[in-house]
Amino acid sequence: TSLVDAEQSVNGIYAFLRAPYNKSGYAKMVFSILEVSTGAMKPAIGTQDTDMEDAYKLIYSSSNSSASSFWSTYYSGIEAANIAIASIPAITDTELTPTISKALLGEAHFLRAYYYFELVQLFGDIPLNIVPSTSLEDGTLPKSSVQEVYETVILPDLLFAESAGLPNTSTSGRVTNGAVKSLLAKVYLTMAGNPLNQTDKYALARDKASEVITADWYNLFESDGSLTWFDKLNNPAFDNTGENIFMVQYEGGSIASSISTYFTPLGGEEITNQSLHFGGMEPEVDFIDTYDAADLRGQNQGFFFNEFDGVTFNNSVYKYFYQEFRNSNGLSSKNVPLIRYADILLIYAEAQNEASSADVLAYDAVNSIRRRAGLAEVSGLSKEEFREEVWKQRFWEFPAEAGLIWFDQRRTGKVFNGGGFTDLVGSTLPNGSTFTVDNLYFPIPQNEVVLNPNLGD
Amino acid sequence: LAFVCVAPKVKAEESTMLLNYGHADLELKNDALFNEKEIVQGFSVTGTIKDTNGTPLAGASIIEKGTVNGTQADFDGNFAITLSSESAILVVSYLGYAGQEINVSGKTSIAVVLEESSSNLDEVVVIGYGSSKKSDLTGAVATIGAEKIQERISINPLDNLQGQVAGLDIYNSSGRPGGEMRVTIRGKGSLNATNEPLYVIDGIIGVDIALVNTNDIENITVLKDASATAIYGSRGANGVIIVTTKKGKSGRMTVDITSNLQVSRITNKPEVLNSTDYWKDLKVRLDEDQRALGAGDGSFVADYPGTYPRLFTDDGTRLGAPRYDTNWLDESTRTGFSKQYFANVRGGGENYNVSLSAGTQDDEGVLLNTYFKKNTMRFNGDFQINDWLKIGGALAYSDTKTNIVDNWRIGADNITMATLFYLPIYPTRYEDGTLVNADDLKNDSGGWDIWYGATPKDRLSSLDQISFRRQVTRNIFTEIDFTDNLKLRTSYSLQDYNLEGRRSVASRLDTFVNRTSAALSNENSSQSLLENTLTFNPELDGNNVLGVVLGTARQENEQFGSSLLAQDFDEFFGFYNVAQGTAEPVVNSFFNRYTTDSYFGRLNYSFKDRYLLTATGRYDGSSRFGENNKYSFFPSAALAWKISNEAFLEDSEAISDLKLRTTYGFTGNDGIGNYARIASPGVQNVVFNNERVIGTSQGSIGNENLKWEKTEEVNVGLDFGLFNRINLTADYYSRTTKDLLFNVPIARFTGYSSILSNAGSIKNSGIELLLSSTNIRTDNFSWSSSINFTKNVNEILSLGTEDNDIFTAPIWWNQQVFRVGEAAGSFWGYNRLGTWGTNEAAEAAEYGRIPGDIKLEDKNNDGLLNFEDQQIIGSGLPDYTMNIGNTFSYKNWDLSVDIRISQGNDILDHSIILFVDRMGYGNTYKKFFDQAWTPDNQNTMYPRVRKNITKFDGADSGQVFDGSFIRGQNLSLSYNFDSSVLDVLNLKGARIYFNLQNFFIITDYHGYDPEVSSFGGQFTEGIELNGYPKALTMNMGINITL
Repeated sequence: TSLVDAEQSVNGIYAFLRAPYNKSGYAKMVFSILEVSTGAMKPAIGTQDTDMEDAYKLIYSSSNSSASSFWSTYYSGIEAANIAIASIPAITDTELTPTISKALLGEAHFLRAYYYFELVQLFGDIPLNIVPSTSLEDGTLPKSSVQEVYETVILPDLLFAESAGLPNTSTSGRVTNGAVKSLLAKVYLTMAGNPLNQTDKYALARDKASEVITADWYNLFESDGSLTWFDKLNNPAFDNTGENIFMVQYEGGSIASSISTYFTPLGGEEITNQSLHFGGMEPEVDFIDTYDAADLRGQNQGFFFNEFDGVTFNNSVYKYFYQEFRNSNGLSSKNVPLIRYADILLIYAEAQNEASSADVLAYDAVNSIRRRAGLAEVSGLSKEEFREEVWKQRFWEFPAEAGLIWFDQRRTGKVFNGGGFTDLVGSTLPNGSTFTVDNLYFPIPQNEVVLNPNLGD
Repeated sequence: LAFVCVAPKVKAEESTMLLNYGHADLELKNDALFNEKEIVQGFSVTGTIKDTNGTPLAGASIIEKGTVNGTQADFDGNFAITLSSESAILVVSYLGYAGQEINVSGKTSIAVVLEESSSNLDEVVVIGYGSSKKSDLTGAVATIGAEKIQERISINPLDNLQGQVAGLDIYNSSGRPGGEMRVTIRGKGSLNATNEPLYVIDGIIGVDIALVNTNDIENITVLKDASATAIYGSRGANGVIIVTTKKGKSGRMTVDITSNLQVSRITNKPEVLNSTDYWKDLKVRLDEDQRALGAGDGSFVADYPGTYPRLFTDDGTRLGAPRYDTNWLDESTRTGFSKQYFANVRGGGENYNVSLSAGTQDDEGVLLNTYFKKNTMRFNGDFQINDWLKIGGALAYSDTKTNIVDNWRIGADNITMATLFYLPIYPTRYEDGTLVNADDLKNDSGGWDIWYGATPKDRLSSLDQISFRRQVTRNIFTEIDFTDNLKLRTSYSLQDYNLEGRRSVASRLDTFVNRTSAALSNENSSQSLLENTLTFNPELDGNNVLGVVLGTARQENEQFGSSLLAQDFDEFFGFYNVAQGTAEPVVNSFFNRYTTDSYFGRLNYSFKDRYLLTATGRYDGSSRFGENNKYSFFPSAALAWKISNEAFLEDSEAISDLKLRTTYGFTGNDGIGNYARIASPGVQNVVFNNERVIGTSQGSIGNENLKWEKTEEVNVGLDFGLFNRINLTADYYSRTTKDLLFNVPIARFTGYSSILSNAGSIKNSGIELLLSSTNIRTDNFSWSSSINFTKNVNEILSLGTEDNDIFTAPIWWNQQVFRVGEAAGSFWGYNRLGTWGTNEAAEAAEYGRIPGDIKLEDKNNDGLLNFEDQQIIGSGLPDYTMNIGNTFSYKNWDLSVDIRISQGNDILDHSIILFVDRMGYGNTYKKFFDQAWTPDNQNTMYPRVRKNITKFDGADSGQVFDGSFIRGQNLSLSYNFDSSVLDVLNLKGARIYFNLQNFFIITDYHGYDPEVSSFGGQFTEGIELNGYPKALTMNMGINITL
C-alpha cells in the first residue's frame, strides 16, 4: 500500500455524494422526495416517479425507494470513509508524509460527518457504523440516538477535519477548510433546533459562520453587464468559485451531470435540441406567489422560468438551466451545490439573532441576500421579526436545492404559509396534504428492519 | 473365466478404455464354458456383418449357440465358420449393437445387419473416467445415441437433448438463433453458486457445449445421481453431461455428408390493435381519461388531419383517419433461411483410428438483422504403437458469430417489446423517405401528444451487438497396458476460449442517455487439465468381478479481458473508429486465475452378476476457498441387485430385466467467483478539477471461512423389462444442498448488501420415469414409444441464521421471494381482486384509486396497501414435465414425433404492467383491450384504458399467467434409399429427410411463447418482458454415407 492507495481510498468516498442528484428511470431524482414535501415544489406531469408522488402526498413509506437510496448510498459513503480512516494510518509509504496523511484523513472525516449529518436529519435515530464492517454480526447494531450521532461522530469528525490542515479554498472540488467550517456552522445551527434544542449551539454556529464570512474566502454572485447572478449559479464555468463552497462534482463526459436534463421544462422543445424533456419538479404556483413582486428570484429566469427565447411553458426550474447545454448533446458538467455562501450568511444572521441579537453583520448578511434579489434592505426589526425575515429568505433562496428547505422545516418546526410561519405538524401543503408527526422523519427502510429488527420501533 | 477368454480379443477393437470387465459377452458367459458337446460334422457358412449404414463391423463376434465354436468378422465384415449342423443357431454380437440370433436353416451365405441400440442392456455407456455396460450401472445414468440426437437439426446440441432425458431440464428462454439455454439436472440446489451441470467433452472438463457441432456427437451421457457424479466431486453437484464425439473405427473409410436447408417462421403472433382501433378507440379512451384527471385543452390536438396531414386524412372528425396501418411484428420479422453443411471422414486400420470433420452453419433469425453463424472443425485419432502403448489425441476448433439485439435495454428502447407495441399509426417510412421520430405528434402546448422513439424496424437495422466466440481444444493422451488388466492413461488437455464483443448504438436508440456509444470487449480464457488414471481389472473367479479406477487431476484456469467504451461521435464510425469519440473513453482490463487439485477413485464389484457395488470418492481442492477449507472429500456408494439374474427369475419369459438400485453420496459445488473469499475494493470514478479520477471504496466483503457447498443425495431406482419389449426405469431422489454458497443479506448500513457465506439449505426431491416400449415389430413395420416424466419439488429448508425472506427483482422491485418452505424464486406481489366499480368509488378513494383502477387485496384490512399485503403469487417452476416420443418405421420410411409437455409453470408478464395496466400510449394486446374496464364492463380483471398507473405497486397476480404448454417439439420423416439404389450410386447409405421443430404449441399464454425469460440470472424462468419470438422451423436435408 502506498500514497496512491491512500489518495484513492479518500477519492472513493466522494463518489457517494452523487446518487441523490443523478436522474434514473424516466425522471426520477432521489432528492425530490424532500423538495416536494416542503410546499415549494411539485412533481411535473409524467415523471413516473412514484416515490416522489408519495412524498408529495406526505406518505412517508418504509418502502420508499428514494428514501432507501439516501440510506444505502450515504451509509456506503460512511463505510468507504471508515475504511480510509482505519487504513491510512497503517500505510508506511514514506511519500505519505504526516501532513498529507492528516489532510487525507481530514477529507475522510468531513465526508463521514456530512453523510451522518444528512442521515440523522432524514431518519432520526440511526445505527452508528464507525469502523469497517467485517462480518454478519456488524449488521445487528442497534439504533443510536440523534444526540449520540452528533456527539460520537459528526462533531468529532468535523473538529478533526478542521485541524487537518486543509486548504482554505480550492477550485478542485475537494473538501476545503472553508467547507469544514461551513458544515460545522450548519451542524451547530441544526443542533440548536429540533429535536435536540441545544440552544447553546447558536453561539457556536454564529462563530463558525463568522469565521467563514470574515475570512473573505467567498462572495455572493452578483449580476454584471454580461450575466445575471442566476446565470452564474447555473453556469458550470462558475462551479467551485464565488459562493459555491461545496458541490457534487461532474465532468460532462462519462460522469455527466443529469441535473440540467432532469429539469428541462416540459413542453419547451424548441429551447433545446433535446428530444426529451422531463420537467422533473416544478415550483408550486402558491410558492411562486409568496415572492415579493420585486423579488428577482421569483421572476422569469430567476430561480424559475416560464419563457425562454420567446417559447413559453409551465413554470420550471432555472437554477440548473445551463444555457450552453441546450445546444449540446444533453450532457452537462454542472456541479450540484450542497453548501452555498448564501446559506452561511443566513446562518450567521439567524444564529447571532438567537444567541444575542442581530448585529450589524447580521443585518449586512440578510441585506446582502435581499439586495441582490432586488429587495429593499431591512433594519430595526424585533428579534422575532428578524428571525422570521431570515427564515423567509432561506425559504426563497433554497428551493430545489439539496433539500435545504425540508431540513429547515424540521429544525425550526415551522412552515411559511405566505403570510407568516405556522407549526409544521398540522400545516398543509398547497396540494392539501397535512403534515403529521410521521412526516418529521422518513421511516428506516423496510428491508433494513427485516434484516435487523433492532432498527424497528 | 468368460472374461479371461474374450477380453484380449475384444480389447484391440475398442478405443474406449478402463472397464474391460464390461466387455464380456453375456451369451458367452452363460453358455459357452459349460458346454461339452463335441463337434462331429461340419457345415460351412460364410457371410457379412454390417451396420444399418452398410459399414462393415470388423471384429463382430459370431458364435454357434450353445458351443465354444466361434469366430470374428474380418476387416471387411466377412466371416466364415464351420458349424455342427445346418440347423445351428448363430449368435452375432458387436459392442453397442443389438445382438441377433440367426437360424442358419441350411443357408450357406448369410448377410447380417446389426442395429445400434439404445435400449440394449449390453450397450456400453460412457461414465466418468470409464465406461460400463448398461446392465451393470448402479447409479442414475441416461444416454442418448447419435441416431436420436441427429433426428433434430440444431445449432446447439442442447436443443437435441431437450425433453429427451427425465430429470434434465433444458429451458430455452429465447427464440434467438443460438439463444440462451438454461440447463439444470434434478432442480436448482444453489442460490448464488452455479446451477449449471458440468460438461465433459471427450474427457475435457468445462468445454462450452454450444460450440460443439451436433453432427460430431456419437453419444451423450447424463449422470444424475451422486453415485455417478461423485467421481467429479467438487463439480458434480449439478449433474454431469458427458459428450463423446465420433471416432474412427477399424474398417473401411467412412464419409458422412449432411446438407440441410432450414426455413423458420414466426407462427404464434399475438394480436394487437390495428391502426383504426388504436386511434379511434384506445387513443380516445386514453384522452378521455386524461381529461377526467384534469388535463387541460393544451394537452390535446384540436385538429389532427389539419395539423398532421402526413399521418391522418380528413374524415370530418377531429381525430381524422390514420393513413397508415402498420403491423410492426410483420415489419420486424422475416422468414429465416438457414444453411448447414457437415462432412466427416473417419476410419482406421488395425493399429489406428482417425476422424476428421468440418461443419458450417449459418442461421438467420426471424427478427431482422439477427443471425448466428458457427464453424467447426475436429480431428480425433489414436494409434496403437505396440501391444502395450497407445497414443492419441484430438484437436477441435469452433467459432460463432451472432448479432444479439433483442436484449438491448429493458424499457422504452427495447426492440422486441416495440415489435408488438409500437404505434400502428406510424409508417416504416413516410412517403418522402424520412423516418418516424418522436416529434411527429405534438399536442397544442408543444409537448408530445404520444411519445415514442425510433420504429422497431429502424432499431433493428441500426443496432449492432455482435459477439464472437472461438474455442480451441487440444488433447493428447497415452495409454500404457502394464498387463492385460492394469492400464495407465495420462491425458493432457488445453482449452482456449475467446469472447469478443462489438457494440455500437446510435444516439436515437438510446433515448434517455441520448449519446452515440461504441463498446469493444475481449476476453480470453485458457484452461489446462492434466489427468492420470490407473485402471485395474484383476482376474478373479467367475463369480466375482472387480474393477478399480484411481486417478488424479489438476486443472488451471486463467482469464484475461479488456474492454473499451467510447461515446459521443458521429454514428457513421460505429465501432470501427472509436478514437473519434469526444468523451474520455472508459477502459478496463482484468485477470483472474483458478486452480483445482483432485484425487479420485472408484471401485466396482459384482458378485455372480447379481449383486453390484460401486464405491466412489473424490478428494478435491479448489483455489476458491481459504487455507482451512481448501480440500474436501466427496464419497458415494451404490448398491444394485439384478433380481432378474436370480434363479427364480432367470428363466422367466416375461421379466427380461429387473434391477433395484440405491445410492447415497455427496457432491460439491465451488461455482463462485475466483476470488470471492477475499475482500475486494470497489472502483469508484470521481471528479476533481473537472476531470475523472479513480477512487476506491468497499467492494465486496471477504469471507476466509467459505467452504464447499455440499449436496447430499439419496436415489432409489428400478429398472424393469418385460418381454424384452417394454422397459421402465423409475427413480426417486432427494437432494439436499447444505452450506449454500449464498449472498446472505446484511443491513445496508454496514456499507454492504450481502456477505457470501455458507448458510441455508435447499431440497430438491422428485420422481423420474422412463417408459419405453416396442409396440409393434414386424418385418416391414415397427412402432416404438418412449415416455419420460419428471416431477421435481424445490423447497428452501433454511436461509441463514434468521431465516429471513429474501427478495430479489430482475427489474423493478421485490418481485421474487426466497422463503423457507417455498420454492426458490417464487413470484411475489399483491393479489389482484379485479377492478374498482363505480359503486365503490368511496372505498377506492381510501386507497388513492378511482373506479376502473385495479383493486388489490388489502389482506390485513388496515386501509393501506403495503408490504404486509403482499404474498406469493406464482412460480416459474413447473409441477411436472413430460416428453412423449413415438417412432414408426415402414419399409424405408422412418417417422419420429416428440411431444413435450410442461404443466403448472407460471409466467409473470411485465408487458401487462406497461401495456395493459398501462404506462403511456403504446399499443396493446387485443385480447386484454377487449376486457378492459368500462362503465358498462365493470366485472373484469383489467383496468380502464388509462395513460398512467395511478400508483405503481410492483407485481400483482393479474400479471401472472399459467404457462403450461404442450409443444410439438420435433417431427422427422426420413427415407432411406435401398441398397439397390445405393449400389448403383456406389454409396453406402443415403437418406433424405424432412423435419419440423416447434411444429405446434397448445397454451393459454398470450405472449409469443410460454417458455420464456427476458432476464439473466438463476431463477428468472417465466419472467417476461417480451423476449425474442420463437419460430417454427422446417428442415430439409440429405445424409450421404460413402
